[in-house]
Amino acid sequence: MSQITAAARNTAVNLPTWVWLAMMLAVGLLYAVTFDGGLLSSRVATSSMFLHEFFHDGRHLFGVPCH
Amino acid sequence: MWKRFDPSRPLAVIVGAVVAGMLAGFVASVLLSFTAEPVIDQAIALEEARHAAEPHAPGAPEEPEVVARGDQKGVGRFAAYSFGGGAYGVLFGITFLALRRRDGKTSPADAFRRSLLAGAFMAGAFTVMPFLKYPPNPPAVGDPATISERQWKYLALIFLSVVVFALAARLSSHLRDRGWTGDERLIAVALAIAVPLGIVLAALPPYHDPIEAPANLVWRFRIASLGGNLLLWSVLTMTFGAVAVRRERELSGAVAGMPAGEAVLRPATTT
Repeated sequence: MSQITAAARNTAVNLPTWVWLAMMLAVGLLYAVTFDGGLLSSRVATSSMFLHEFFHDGRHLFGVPCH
Repeated sequence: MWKRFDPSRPLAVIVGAVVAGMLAGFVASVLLSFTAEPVIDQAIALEEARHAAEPHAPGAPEEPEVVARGDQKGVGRFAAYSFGGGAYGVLFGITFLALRRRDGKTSPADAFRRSLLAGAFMAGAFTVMPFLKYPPNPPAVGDPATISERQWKYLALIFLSVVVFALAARLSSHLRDRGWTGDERLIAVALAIAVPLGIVLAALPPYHDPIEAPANLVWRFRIASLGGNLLLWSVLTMTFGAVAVRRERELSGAVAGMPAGEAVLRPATTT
């Protein structure tokens, strides 16, 4: 009995579909922080370079190529 | 909240990893305030001195400052590292889930082992590999004309590294199914990681931009950046792993009905 339940805790191998959605959200967030050059920024802020400038130091430090 | 964290449930893992990642990003950002910001300020001063030396068209308007410099180095960087850490957390959590053993033969300590592996893969693909081939550069380095070329090289390197790690994990599980145990499998998998990563590093074209900033400044920036990013991955991996293994012990103890003597070894949770 105990073995069956203990094994059942870890055998669910297939990931649920929403995990891939979460992954795309994460990639989108990384894009906003490190790559956005106006595509997103012009929609959420007054300047198309707002996100680019706001995350300037973080982007350099993450090591993403920048200007 | 503690009671609802179950390392075998995908939703709990992702949410927990996002929290750990945001915390880790914040901690790394605190370190970077001291290690990286003085270097960045120097680089910006250099950049501005260079701009000032260039001949200006008379009456040309100054570039407007979109975000104040104080915000860039303060709230902007903390936001970048917290959001970035949270996003890294999602990817870390997915890796942690994907590394589950298919045969179900597992112990609570396996949760910590998987955390370490997931953290090592992620740090390898997102921080160490780019550092080796395309090391981070401070402001004052980089020709805007080549930015998109550098971006695709950088992304290609991360993508190829992720693929190599994923295939190596596949291979490891496959070899285990075929009865390879212990050192043989470890060596085979290590080779299956090291050799393709070496090929990737050698095959991708380098950045061609000349670096005109002083080498000392550039390298101080690079080391500070590497330190901050490795701290992020360490804090993420360790907090998630420590909590996961503790919860796994509690839950498997509750499920399997451990003898009372075993339970005494773990302090009961106070929450």
